[in-house]
Amino acid sequence: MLVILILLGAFAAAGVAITLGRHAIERLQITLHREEQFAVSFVLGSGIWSFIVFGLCTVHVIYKGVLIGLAAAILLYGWKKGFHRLQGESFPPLPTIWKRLLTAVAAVFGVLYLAHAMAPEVSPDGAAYHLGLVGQYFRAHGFLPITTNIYASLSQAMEMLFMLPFAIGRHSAAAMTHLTFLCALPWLILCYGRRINQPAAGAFAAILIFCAPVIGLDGISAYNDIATASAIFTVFYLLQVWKQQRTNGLLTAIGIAAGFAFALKYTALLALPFALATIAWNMRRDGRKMLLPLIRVTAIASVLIAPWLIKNAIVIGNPVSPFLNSILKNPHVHIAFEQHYQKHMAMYAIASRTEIPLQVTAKGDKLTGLLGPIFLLSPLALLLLGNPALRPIALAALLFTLPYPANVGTRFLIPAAPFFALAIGIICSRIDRLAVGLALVHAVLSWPDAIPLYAAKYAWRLDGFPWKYALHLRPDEEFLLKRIGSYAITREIDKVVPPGKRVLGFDQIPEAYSKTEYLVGFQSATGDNLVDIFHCAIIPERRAVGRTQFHFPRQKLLRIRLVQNTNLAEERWSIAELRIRNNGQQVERKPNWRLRSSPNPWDVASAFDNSPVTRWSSWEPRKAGMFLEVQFLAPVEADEIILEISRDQTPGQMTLEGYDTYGNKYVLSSNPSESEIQPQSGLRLAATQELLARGIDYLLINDYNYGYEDVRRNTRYWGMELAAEKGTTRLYKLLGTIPEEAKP
Amino acid sequence: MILRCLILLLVLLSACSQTPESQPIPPQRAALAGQDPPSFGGYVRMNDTLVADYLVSDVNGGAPTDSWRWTNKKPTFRFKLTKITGLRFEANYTISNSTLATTGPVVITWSVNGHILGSAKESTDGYRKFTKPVPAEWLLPNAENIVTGEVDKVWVSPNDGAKLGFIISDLGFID
Repeated sequence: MLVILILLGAFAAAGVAITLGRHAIERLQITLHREEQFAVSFVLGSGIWSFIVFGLCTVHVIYKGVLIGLAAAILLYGWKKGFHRLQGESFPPLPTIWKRLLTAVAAVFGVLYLAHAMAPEVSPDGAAYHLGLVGQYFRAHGFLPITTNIYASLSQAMEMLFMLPFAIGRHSAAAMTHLTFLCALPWLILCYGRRINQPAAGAFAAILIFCAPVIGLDGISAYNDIATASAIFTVFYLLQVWKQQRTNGLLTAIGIAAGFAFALKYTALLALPFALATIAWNMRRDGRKMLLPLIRVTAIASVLIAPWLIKNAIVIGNPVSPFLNSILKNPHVHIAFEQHYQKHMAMYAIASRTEIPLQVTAKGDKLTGLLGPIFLLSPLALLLLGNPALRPIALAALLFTLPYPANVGTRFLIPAAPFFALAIGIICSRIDRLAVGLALVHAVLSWPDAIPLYAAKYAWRLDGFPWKYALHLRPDEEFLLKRIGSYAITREIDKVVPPGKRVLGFDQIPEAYSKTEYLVGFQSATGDNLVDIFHCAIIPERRAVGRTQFHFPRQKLLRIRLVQNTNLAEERWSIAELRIRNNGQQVERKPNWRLRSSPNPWDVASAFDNSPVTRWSSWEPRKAGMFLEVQFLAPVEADEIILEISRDQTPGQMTLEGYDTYGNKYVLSSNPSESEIQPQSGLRLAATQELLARGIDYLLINDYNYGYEDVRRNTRYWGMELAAEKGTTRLYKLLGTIPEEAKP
Repeated sequence: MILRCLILLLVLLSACSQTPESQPIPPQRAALAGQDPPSFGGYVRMNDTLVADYLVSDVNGGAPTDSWRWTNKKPTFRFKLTKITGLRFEANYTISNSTLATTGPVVITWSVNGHILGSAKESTDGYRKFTKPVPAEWLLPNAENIVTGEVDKVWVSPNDGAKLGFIISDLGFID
């Protein structure tokens, strides 16, 4: 039964997309060859459908009945209109050798891919957040204002496309929808080759893309990279058609595809400037006005782009979250996180960028996946720059490689890969046998059993042929337990944690298989702060054992401001407590005091809460001019300011400024004295109490997470109790009190 | 033109961000009521928060979050045991191919309070586990117990003369 539902879900999703696409093509009066119609319709229709589902999510009507009812109505309309039948002219027949090779490759790899896509979804990101978010939206019947997961802020057109198949056939049906793009993309490439009278090159490139190990693995998963590449290639494709037909309808279709590309993945925004530049170049060359066509494409694309920007602007306060946080400041993503993330994504596990060519083509372990050794011929694309007719292919290859240095994972080459494949195909197909031979070699080298012969031992690749799990003849749980290390504890979490309680963890878990609210430490500013609280209890350098004292003549003050004077790119500035004293006694903090800080004004209260495990931190590199400020509504008499600080920061120059009752500003002190204070006892319990106060009820920790051993050995001192354990992962319930037997 | 429009759009959309003008004084946390656990026990991982308490000599420093550390020739550790009967000693470590290529096979000899517990000859690189029961009479209850893992050959850096033995992850006494 599940197999039928999976297939039904996938077919429904593809059918709806094709119907909407063909409707659009008909209305826009676009003329395509028979072979092109389904693939182009599928991509355009997917863009339109994702936009519709976005609307449904916004108005919170995501119910199984609504999705299926709407899909059924669309499919019925398509059937009545005869959209399932192909019309129009055909391309000239493919050369026999290519036809046979394509058929063989499609059959062999198709069965392999189908088996993997229909098996339970086990991809790291698919199981963690792509389908995790789909599950959350589905349960909430629409969008949730998620501020604790950066991935919820990325554009999610693919998640919108997953909704319908997920409603019918759950996780595997969603993965099958991505597989549909894996079928559409090579088909489009093949058609493109035929359209430009390079059928052998098209066939060659289609095989390169369809078989490429990382593309296959990505395509069978609930990811979005192949869909993104398909949308980008459709823009490129329609531009080629537009050059031949020059209709406004094509411009509209180009706008839809370009907007859809961004809606799938931020980095695909380049599809829009590429389209605009191509149109402008051609219009200018022909001496025609270009403004209206450019406005049309931009306007249509914006319709699909804007919803995601607006959603982020409302929820996060940064339309392009989780990026550009230093410009578009917001409380939900720290600048330090973004910088760290970018640094990591720019290198992954490689020591030098010279490793990239071999890693992404043949090794596949350090940059997660490989395209296949034939892609080492990609520089051949440069040869096309000299040919005006083929130059767009080379330019597209180069343009869509531009974002790659920001994230050097092999997957991030997928948008450019079709263009490189075409370029290699065009050059190599000048000798037909060479192209056939290379395509065959690529197919053989891409077969999962062949990859270990040349790739790194731990290359990310398809593993096995799980046909029993694809047909669901064996329990899904068995496959999930085998393939996802944290699946077992995820199931335990759902059993142990009551509804409405929140779990904090340090790593992703397959949230797609859980209903519990789970916060991953690194995925938000909230998570950063929670993890920092936990670490402040046990990492000696993070404990507030440093004391900085500013002495000044006793006086009445209306405001004090502590100003940082030091620039340190590698360090944050943080303050655990700022205490105002008079005559040796702390001045009682009054509810009507007003606190300010720059940067990070959202956390300033953490320096005034009397907790040694919380601290205000700049969460960005320390810069001169940063400040903390306290404004008193009534004058306060003081003669000393004490800062309690951790020793994970270099002492820097600070100035303490004061404002008297007349509003005059003075430098109270710029020569503080430094001393050490004894670390306080009971920080572990204080951390647990603080986590509880911030709405965390459970802690999930792996043996490789810092603090695992400490919590395991000193559970009672933390005020926690073990709630579940699977392998080397433990779930603790936060109690906030020390059991009697642990007390001395 | 388009770029300008895009920047303008982002700026307008970012206006939704609610930067607080100021914040009030938060609720004050009560004085700490908790206790700290005893300083060290019978087992340690290199990313343990109290790892420094267990290290006596010949173990290189590392960041607090590092789960492994290089040893020198005779890494020495101390443990405090509340019970001494029925215990096994266990050490998890890694032999690096980069040092092994120079030193050739190495022998690591584990001793507890001066008693040789056993040796392991390591001819290939990779992860290793050494484990063996420890006679109760070798151990001291509620006192320091010294463990050494002496390696017969170390790799010596041609640049600075630094000596590397093996990579230790965790060790100690288990039931």
